[in-house]
Amino acid sequence: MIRADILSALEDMNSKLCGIDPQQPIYASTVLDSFEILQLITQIEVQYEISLDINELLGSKFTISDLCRVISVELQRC
Amino acid sequence: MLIRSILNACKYCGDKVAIIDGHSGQSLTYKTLAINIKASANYLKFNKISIVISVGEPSLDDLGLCLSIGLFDGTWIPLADSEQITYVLRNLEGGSKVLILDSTSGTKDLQQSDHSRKSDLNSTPFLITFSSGTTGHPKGVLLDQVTKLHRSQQTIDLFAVGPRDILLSSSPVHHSLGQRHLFVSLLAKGTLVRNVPFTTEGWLFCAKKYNPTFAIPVSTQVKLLEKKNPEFEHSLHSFRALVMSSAPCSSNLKRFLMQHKIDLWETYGCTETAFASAVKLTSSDNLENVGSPLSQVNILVDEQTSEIKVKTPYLCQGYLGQNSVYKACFDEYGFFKTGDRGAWLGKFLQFEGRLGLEFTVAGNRVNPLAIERQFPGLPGVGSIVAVPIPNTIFDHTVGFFFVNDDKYQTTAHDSKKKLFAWAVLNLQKHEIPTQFISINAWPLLPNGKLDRQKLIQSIR
Repeated sequence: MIRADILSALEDMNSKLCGIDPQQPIYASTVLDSFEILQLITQIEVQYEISLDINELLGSKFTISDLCRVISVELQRC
Repeated sequence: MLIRSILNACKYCGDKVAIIDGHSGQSLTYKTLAINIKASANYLKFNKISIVISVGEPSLDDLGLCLSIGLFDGTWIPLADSEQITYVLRNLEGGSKVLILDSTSGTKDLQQSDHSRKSDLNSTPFLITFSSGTTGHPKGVLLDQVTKLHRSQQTIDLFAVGPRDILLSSSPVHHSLGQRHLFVSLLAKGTLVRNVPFTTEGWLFCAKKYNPTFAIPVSTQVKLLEKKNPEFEHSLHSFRALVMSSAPCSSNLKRFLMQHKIDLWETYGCTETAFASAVKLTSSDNLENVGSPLSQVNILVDEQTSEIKVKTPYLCQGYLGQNSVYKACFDEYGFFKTGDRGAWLGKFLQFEGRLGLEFTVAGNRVNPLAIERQFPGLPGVGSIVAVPIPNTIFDHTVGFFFVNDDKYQTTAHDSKKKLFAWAVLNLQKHEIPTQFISINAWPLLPNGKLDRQKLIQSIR
């Protein structure tokens, strides 16, 4: 799955992601609150059967691009 | 008093079947039970035995022996397993002669309690029942014969149990509900069918063969039985009444019982208090509650802690070896603090699970039972158990355990997706689970209740 597809899938999961620049930190953008990020992580984990690090995703510098990269790597491991 | 009342019932019933072991098909008449009780009393008296400990479910013959101890103010201590024997012997009156009937190993053993021990009991209890251990700290609840008799009479009066009733018991006698079935059936001159240890197949078999009319199952048993539908619903056709203890009945089952004019009772109580509240449901759209306080019983819900408190004449007499723990269970007005959480819905009490089960997610309080109650069941997932998952950022997050039902040909992965979708639509943000854990079967305590602590510990 290429990163563009992952990004598109993520935006389908939560349309608020469309309002965040992929290079902008997700949590710091304040578009999603911590519960919504938690929900997004869970949805990704359930959908793709992968495991993500919640601490990393709630980090102050973690971006959507980082998220797409992590998912891509995790999917390749499966 | 209790045992003499049972002997009186035996006089009237003669050759009527008193107890049937559903698994083996063996049965015992009232006449034989009376003979067993009297003969055993002589044996115990001759050997100066004042305490009988039964381990596991006593055979029908041994049951007479256990009951006979009540003819001369001795004590019967039914235990789930032999691990508790040492604790029990350490806390009994020093030098007491104890007969241990272990049905799990088929052995009979005579022992003496610790000579150095001076019991702190004010009077000799007839029964010492270890409470379920839902909290992880089971306590030996002391009950005298008068209280046990009153409790049984309360059940007989409340549910109009009579000689025509056939009671189906799925709880062992070391559990208060198992004792309730036994004493109520004998005192009401009915017939008791034992499906112990509980199995769904045993229930279905006993229902087909013996046409039971009355039962007080625990919610876990009902949940397991509901997975056997339509066979379970079919097994209920001979029933006139079903009593749910503390946990409410599912709406599907409620609807079925209403349609078939089978009385459905929701009740609340614990081993220490006996039944404290009850309600007979009259329509399928009843709010989920466990009724209003019974006659002579007062119930309070603490405004600050939401703890259910009970003042009742049916109260137990203490905890074995834990006087201070027992005293601490009462508030300044003499109400027993149950450790259960509740709320009032008008004049009806709502049971919301154990107080200690709650946890916080980023400062938001989560009541697992409230989440579980909302879950209607989905194809492939009949029920869920919500547990706290420790988390450094949120304190906890919510996890769902579920048993995937292969009958629906859905994979565990499909079920996780369905559960997540349901949670997003129906739960508050902080209640949405972060983990979905599929297990093969629910872990159960010896009394048939869900072993919630085992699930929680399996995550840690």
